[in-house]
Amino acid sequence: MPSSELAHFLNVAIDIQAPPYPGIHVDFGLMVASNGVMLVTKRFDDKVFLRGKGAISPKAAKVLAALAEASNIGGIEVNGNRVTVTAQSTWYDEKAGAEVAGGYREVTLPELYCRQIPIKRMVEVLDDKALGWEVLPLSSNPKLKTLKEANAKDYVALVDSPHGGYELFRLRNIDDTHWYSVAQLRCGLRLFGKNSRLSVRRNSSGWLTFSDQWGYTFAVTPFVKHN
Amino acid sequence: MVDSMLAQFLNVALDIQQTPAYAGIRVTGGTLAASDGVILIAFKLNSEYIRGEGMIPPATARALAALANDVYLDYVEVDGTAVNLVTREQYADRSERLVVTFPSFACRTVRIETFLPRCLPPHAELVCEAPSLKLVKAARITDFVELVDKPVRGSELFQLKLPDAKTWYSVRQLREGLRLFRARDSVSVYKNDQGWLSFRDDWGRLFAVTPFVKHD
Repeated sequence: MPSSELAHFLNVAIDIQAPPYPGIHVDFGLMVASNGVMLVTKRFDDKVFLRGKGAISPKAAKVLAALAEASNIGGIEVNGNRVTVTAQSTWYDEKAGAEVAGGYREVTLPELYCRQIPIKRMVEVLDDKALGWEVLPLSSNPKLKTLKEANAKDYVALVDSPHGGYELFRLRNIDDTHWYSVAQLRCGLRLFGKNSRLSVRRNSSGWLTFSDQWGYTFAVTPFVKHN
Repeated sequence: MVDSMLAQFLNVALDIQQTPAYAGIRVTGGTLAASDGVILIAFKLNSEYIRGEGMIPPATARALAALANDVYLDYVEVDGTAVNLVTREQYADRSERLVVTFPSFACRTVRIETFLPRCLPPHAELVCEAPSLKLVKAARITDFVELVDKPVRGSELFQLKLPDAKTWYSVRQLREGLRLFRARDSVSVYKNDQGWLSFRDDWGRLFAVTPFVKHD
């Protein structure tokens, strides 16, 4: 059975990662991709599944995504820029007329250079109160209908008092202090499935984070009005 | 060597082989071939560079396409649906050999190579060398085109389809396959008695497309 959740995360992460933080970064069970404006993370509870620390180059990430789309991934080991994947083989049984799973095989990918960044620090920032961040609980399971209906070039702001189950965004007004790009929000929110129970948080600088029960997080920084 | 031509071929092949019955890229005798049942592309390479026989499953082909542009390839070895990529990792002071062993993935064997002889002489006749293909770029993707009466080197090969055309071709299909060639590649065009049109360049790449046929 393909590791479609992993493949999906990798595909979103590949789209998001860009300079100054190219690649997908791994730190003992944590996978992160960012472009400096957005950030997506996935925390794997099973630390044996995602081992080691380092950076997966964009090309290696594409290989990993292709493997995850086709087969079950037994584990990933990252050591610097070296990535080793355990993938399950499959074969077509002509008699049964179906695909049959075979044994696991280790695939060592070529070491493609990708700068390593301190991702733990980046992720800690999302919760760090010591840095003067006041994390405001916003709402759980908000409606995101505005995002779907808006034009990709539009900008939105948070509604005044977001409540669980109600619309989270409205189109941006001229006097808003923080606002967000619809294109960026759409790009990151692809991470979550229809059954995800989303919880949304915001800090005093307007950073917005979306998390679900499966360990996925998407954070986005706002556009800010300067007087 | 870093092989951008191989990467480009694989990317076009991945787009073409999406029909489930033709999934995968066929490898035999140093030739890579992919088809969707209507169009066919092939790339004849050295049999020491592309070794073995079998099918490259779509997932492995995607992985191969991603790597071919960035790593030094010694050779690719195919055995059934398992693929070994033998690469050379370059460091400042040394280079190391690395075998990337992709597991076998389910993929039916489709002997696409059996269609290749039909696209080339003696089964097909030379129509024109180095024609202009501007109309394929300029036309709408939903348009259909047919060959001009007497194509000449450097002149336009196609014209928009007339109502009484006996065989004609889809602009969409032509564009899809012609992506195989770069702007300055000089292609030779062949046509067989069934109207199959094939484009071949000096690098061993071939694109063939079957026509729409008027039935009286």
